[in-house]
Amino acid sequence: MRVSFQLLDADYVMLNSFPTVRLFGKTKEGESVCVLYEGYLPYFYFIPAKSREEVEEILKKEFGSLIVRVEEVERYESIGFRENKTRMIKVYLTDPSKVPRVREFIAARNLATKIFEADILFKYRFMADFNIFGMRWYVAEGKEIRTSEIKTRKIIIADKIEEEEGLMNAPFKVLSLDIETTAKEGKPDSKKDRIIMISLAFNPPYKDKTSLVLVGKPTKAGDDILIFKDERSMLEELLRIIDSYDPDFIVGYNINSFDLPFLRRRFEENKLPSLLGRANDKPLLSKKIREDRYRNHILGRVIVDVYEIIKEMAEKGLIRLKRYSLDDVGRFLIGEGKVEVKHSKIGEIWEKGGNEEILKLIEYSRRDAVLTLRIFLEKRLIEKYIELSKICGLLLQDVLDEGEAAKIESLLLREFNKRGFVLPNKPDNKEMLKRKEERETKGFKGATVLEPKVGLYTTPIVYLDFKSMYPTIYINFNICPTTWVVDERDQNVIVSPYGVKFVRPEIRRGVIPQIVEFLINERDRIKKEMKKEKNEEIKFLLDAKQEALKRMANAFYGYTGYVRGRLYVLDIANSITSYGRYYLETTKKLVESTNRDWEVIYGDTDSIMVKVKANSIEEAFEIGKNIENTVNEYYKGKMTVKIESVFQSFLIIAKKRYAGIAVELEEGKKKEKLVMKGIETVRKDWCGLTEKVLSKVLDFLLREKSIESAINYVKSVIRELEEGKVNIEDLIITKSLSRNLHEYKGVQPHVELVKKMMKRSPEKVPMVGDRVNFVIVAGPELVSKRAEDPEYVIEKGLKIDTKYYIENQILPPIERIFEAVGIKRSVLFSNGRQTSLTSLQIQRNHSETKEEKSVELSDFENFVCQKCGRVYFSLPFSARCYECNGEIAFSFNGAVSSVVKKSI
Amino acid sequence: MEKLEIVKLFLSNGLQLTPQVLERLFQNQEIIDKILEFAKQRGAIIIDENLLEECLRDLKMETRLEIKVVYPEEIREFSVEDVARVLKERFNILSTILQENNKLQNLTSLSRVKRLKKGEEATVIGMIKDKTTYSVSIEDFTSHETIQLDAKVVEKLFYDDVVAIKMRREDEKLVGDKIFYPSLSFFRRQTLPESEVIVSHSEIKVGKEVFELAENEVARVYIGGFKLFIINSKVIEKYTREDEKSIDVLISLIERRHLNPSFFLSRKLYKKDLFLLDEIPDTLIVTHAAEPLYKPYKGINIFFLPEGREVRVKEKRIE
Repeated sequence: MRVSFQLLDADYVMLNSFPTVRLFGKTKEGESVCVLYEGYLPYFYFIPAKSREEVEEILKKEFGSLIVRVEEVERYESIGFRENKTRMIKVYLTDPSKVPRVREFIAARNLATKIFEADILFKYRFMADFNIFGMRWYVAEGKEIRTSEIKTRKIIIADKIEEEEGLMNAPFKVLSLDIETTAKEGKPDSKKDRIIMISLAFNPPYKDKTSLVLVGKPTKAGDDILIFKDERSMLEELLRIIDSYDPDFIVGYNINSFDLPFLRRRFEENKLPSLLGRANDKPLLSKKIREDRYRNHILGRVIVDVYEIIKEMAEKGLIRLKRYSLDDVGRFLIGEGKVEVKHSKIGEIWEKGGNEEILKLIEYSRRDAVLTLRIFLEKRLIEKYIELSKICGLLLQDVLDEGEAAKIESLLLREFNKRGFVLPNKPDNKEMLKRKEERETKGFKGATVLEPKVGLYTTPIVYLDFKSMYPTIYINFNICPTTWVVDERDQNVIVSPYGVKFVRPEIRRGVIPQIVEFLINERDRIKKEMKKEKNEEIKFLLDAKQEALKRMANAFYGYTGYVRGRLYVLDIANSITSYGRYYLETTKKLVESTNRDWEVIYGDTDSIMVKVKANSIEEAFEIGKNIENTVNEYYKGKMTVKIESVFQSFLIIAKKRYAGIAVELEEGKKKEKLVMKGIETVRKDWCGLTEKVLSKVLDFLLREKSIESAINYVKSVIRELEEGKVNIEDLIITKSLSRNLHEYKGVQPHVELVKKMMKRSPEKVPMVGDRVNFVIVAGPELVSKRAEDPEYVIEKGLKIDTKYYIENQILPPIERIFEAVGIKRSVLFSNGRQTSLTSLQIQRNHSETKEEKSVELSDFENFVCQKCGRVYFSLPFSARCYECNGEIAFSFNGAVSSVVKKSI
Repeated sequence: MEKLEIVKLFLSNGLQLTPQVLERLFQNQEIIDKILEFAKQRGAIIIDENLLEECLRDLKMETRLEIKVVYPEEIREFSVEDVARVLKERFNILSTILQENNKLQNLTSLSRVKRLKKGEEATVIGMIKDKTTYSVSIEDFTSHETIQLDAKVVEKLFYDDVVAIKMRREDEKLVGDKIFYPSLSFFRRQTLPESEVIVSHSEIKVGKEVFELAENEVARVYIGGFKLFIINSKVIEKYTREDEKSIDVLISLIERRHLNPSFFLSRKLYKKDLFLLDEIPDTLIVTHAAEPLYKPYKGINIFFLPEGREVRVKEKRIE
């Protein structure tokens, strides 16, 4: 029988003392399939310190029938150029799980000088040797069997597995899962707290249902609500549904670090096996990798944590939000949020709530699953990872969970092996220490960033990018561990600016250059195909593919400098960055020497920004083309630059911190967009006013190109603040109460406020998990003690601490921006003199209380110059003002005096 | 006799005294001659407490252990000039300590800093007079200047701190690279009282003697040569920011050699500034603490004492 399937997951089992590989996938018809392959054995290599016969004897004596075969082979070592292959031993075992034991024995007994590929996971060993890549399509030919151990619809023992072409994905089933627990306060404890509800959302529908909620207590049932008498029966039903629906993807929001570990624990407590996967011999695997972070695996299925994907997008700057809760992300991405139920009330509603309240809770729970599923599907979050899997070979779950190095090494294993090279093992602790020491002594010079010419540019700036700079460097200069010269040769070598030699491609073409060349060329081919493609779905998939190819090609840049990498060579990493530095600096000199009106104002790694004299954007593009040609002619095709865009206005504050309005030309049409790097416009500890002010300031500078308007705007905001005209809503700062009060160390504003509210209005007290809104009011105590409930502030008419909002909220983000355009902070405060912040207020107070100048003070809060009103928190030694030499006095609530008389 | 005179007397006889012995002799001057003779007979060079005890046992004598509690005396009516004087005194004392405890290179006064050329470095000592997000203004007796610093560094500085700043001229700006505090030597040894001292919020017990402790922001207790300082946790809270632990804040205040540096926060003027660590305590107890804690730091035994508990100083325990 022949079956065509898209590969989702793989593992192996020991059957009759030998390993059998299991490949899990989906057919075009939507059936789940498991393809078994027998007869493949684990192996690894080493350079022996003795003869093959001696080694075989020692190994067989120690391990008996575990050792199947000991062969003598010849392979190339990967690190350092050697003309000839090296004699090695290849040892085959019967049991993959015993490879570490044998490896350690060989090392301990000094049977080897070097060991290779003795830490490759068996499934990936198999996949590399059979040229099998995650998420690609394969045809398996073999015999269909039945077994109760495997739960897929079809099970085949294959004789042959061959790849087949396929761009479109199989019709995957997606299940979104969310749980609610009985935890009343603090973090849910999987040992004590129970699951009270499990919400499931399906795509496609399950038995005509798009969602179901399993509820762990008797309540009013509904069509899509299933009632259970207890947690155990609810968990049993979950297993039945999963078996019956047989999803390929299980998605959730923070499912990795909360729902799945919690579920696993509850299965244990209820003495149920957590068999959520496609085989009965492997339960849900949940491993803690860090405080509050887990990795999970469900055999045969792929777990997608939408929260983790969103966070990755945030790190790349593709999405910027203050908070990344499901509610915030849902509203932002698809215009829908959670059902409003206070998290801290869930336990109470569950215990004491009436029918209606419980129904609302059920809908709250259901919405979480539905919302996550919608975000996953509508935003098409998984496709780019699927393409990455197809390129690098890793299974999709590992593409989601592992870092860039794992993806690269999967590709390296295949390509190096194909060409007769073997990879070293991952470094052990001793090797890691050696590498870290080397980095300290030799240093690792990162990518070059040119010193920016800080300021606001209102004339066009041409932004040019080096096309695939680092992959091109690998290719042009044949940089690879396999071409790295480790002896004294001088002939037929290329010397990097760092002074490291690589053999010329005529002697040996490096493996990494070949890989990156393939990736770049393939990407170019896909992009051409995209231009011709009319079908939107195919175009979308092609786009995901070319993005994945770009990501893989660029990922090689940092790999040789990655201390945990198999092919770590510091000299290579430094060579690559030295070439990058060379290109950037050479290009700058070339541009500026070609035309006096071309000025390079910034350059970072593989891009430069050139100020040009142009009267229009179109003219700037023409000049940019000129620059492009000049540079490309100079490099004679070895390196290419391309205009990315022209900034019609550009603000640069510091290295890696700039913003501008970029104009791109797409098919003759101009497309404008705001580009920001290293400048946050949202932060979770900012109030609404800060975000507004920052956005507005950037707008004035970049769109209106007016520094004066920006200054006047900030002055007006400060004035409004001082006059109490700013809406209190805009001053609210929000922080989550993430743990019990006594677990907080130190003094925090929202915690102090909750303590106050506990005494004042216990019925309104926020609970753990709730968000606390507060504003900072005026007063003598520490800022943290002056956090107040906005409602209370309005009720009691309390004064806002305008100094705090000016100094700690508004000024910090915009100060740097104004400094970059040559504006000192003093300009922002009224009369342009270098006065301190609150002098405006004091001046006003001072002038109001001139007649009461000689009032007796019983206390003081700071000092003030009686002539110019400047406020001091520390008295100058001379007791006179630095600015105007006026006499300084004590100040308290606007009144001033040169003497303080405290009452007894 | 003053202490200096006692030291000179022993030195002229080729003898040195440990600080504890000096204190005891100062308080019990009637035994000075006898100790002098005893030590000469023994051929001793240094007189430490062991030798002192031996001598006393030999002579069948006892010394009085004087216990003194010093409270701050507040000045209730003060002028701006009074405050300036106190700050200048503080600057004098702490700048001397700064220079003694740190290897400061290229030390110069703030008035000369204007002459620094681009790229030139210097170190200055000053009192913090003003702060912005990225800079501080400092003053010495010659001038005042503004120095650019990293925002995180500025955050940790308090008004009226006396610090040294290593800095350089960068175009129009002065850019600070490193901050030095007056600090304590690493080589201080721990000193414990001879007999157990038990301290609670309301009293101190030294052997069989009990002394009432009045509620104050700060107090110093001298038990013979042993120094025990007490400070109310409310003082430390004034300087504690979000996510900071009180012990870390206290240690940073100790390093500044002033437990309540910002005058506008303390708002009280005292005849003698007991917060200024011109003397280093052997033990420092923070009263009204939220949680009990013991931590030795550069020879000082630090205790955080909640209400209702007591410190056993010699045993280094909180009960």
